[in-house]
Amino acid sequence: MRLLIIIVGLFISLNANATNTPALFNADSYKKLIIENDKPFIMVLWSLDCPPCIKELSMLGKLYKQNPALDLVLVSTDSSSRTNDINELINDSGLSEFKSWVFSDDSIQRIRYSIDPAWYGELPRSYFHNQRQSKRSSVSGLLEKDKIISWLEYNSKVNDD
Amino acid sequence: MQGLSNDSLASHGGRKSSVETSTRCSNVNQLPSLDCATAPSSVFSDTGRLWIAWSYAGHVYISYSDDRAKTYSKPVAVNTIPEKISARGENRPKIAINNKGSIYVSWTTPLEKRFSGNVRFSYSNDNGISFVKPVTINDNLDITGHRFEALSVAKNGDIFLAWLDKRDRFKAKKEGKKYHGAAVYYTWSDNGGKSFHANKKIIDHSCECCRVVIDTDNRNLPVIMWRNIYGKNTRDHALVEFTSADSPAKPVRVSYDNWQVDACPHHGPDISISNSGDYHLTWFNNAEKQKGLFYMRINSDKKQGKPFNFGNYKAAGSHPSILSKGNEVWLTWKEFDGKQESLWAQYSANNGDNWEAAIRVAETLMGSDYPFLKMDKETVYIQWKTKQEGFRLLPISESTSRDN
Repeated sequence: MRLLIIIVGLFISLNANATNTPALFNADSYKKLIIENDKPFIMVLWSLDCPPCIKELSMLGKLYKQNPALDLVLVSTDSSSRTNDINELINDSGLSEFKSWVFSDDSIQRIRYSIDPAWYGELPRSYFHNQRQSKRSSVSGLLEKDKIISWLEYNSKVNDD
Repeated sequence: MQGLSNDSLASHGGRKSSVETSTRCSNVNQLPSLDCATAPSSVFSDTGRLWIAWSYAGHVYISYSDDRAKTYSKPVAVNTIPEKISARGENRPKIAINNKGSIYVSWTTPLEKRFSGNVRFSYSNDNGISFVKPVTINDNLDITGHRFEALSVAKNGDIFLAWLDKRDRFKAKKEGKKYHGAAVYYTWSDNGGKSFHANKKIIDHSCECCRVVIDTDNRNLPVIMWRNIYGKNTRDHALVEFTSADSPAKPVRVSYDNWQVDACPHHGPDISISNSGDYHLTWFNNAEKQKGLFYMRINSDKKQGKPFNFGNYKAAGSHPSILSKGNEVWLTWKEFDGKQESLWAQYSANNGDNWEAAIRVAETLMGSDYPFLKMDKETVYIQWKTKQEGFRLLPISESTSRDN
């Protein structure tokens, strides 16, 4: 009986991993992920309660198909109780290959501040990280596809040099 | 007349919270509890009883406190059949009373489709012992957005509800047309909530994720304020007055900060109408040149004043609430300094012409709800629910002017 419980438990945990459950994003996460990512990436902050965000994720999914060089970090500012909805949307948008996060139950203000004290919570909000962690630029509102493509082109040239 | 009193804060607002590490809602399986409710609303009755509406596990509950939020009555469920209830940030159950034993409650229930929802309403005519079966207020039942409702009851008992409505956007999409943002709709009841008049549109193309606010004036008519979309993507504020309960006037623009962004600010305004008919307004904007929190008065002759920028923009000053009585006006908002969230208040004794220095009322470590100003007969309080300290009423004036 005990063995059966262990096997069932193992199955459930393996299954949970397969669904790309968003990791909890707390006030330390941003610092860590900048260190871990030494290639250019865009961190996209979004929410299930933000219509332009949904539009943006769909656009990013399509862009990724055409530009596999695009590297994203997706951070939902929703409550962690909504992971199923978050997963569904990320998958529907064709972005399931990217690391996905959801704000932890820590103070929202504290998490926001750890990313950028000048960000007031408007969504979508994106941070373009260039090579080697040193530079970033921020955008409030819907991203423009052409600007992302130019940014990708710029970065690929920098990498070639 | 006294404005902001630091003395009154000593035993309440200054409460240190750093030693506590757990939140008030540590066991989510506990009985329905205000401690586990994320976004409550409250209102004082004439007798000084504080009525609170909050949601927990698919029910809106009401409870009251006769000792300024120290102890509470046993919660009463407004909806007996559980349903989803929006209660976070800009969304929360609302409560209003008529001081004759009637309690009115509204909320938004989200539907299956993203960004869809219905506005729900119920009332009690027996002082909150029982509530009638909730009704849906939007008379359009497309699976689309009818959300972010605001509720107000005039002194004559007329009940007004206004909300952000996407029925026109839904229709436009079906016809292959584009529709930017949402619309503001309203309805009203002149029989205590037994029935409501047909829904009426106030404006097309409002911002779609900021709270709508409403107050009623001496003529028993509402004034509704919201964040609107001007031009392509300029997110400034508008308000509408009424010539009678079923005749909204033409909406007027009240902020000119020119925040141009195709985004959801999730940051709605607030309004308080004084006894003399002045409108006291507050809002947040983040335009390059005009950023942070703003206060503005519109005189009863409709002349718009010059906006006053308050709070510390660099410390994330946000989510303002406003209250007026006679010539006295109070503002509250919250800030974050990198370590603590703090609650602030500012006072004007001359109808918003001049403001005393802002005072820091309280702080918390683990996250907090928006602050709201409340007033009983003698004192002005800030309703502030924090994860660590729970629901609190923090007094910011020992006594307000009683001769207005």
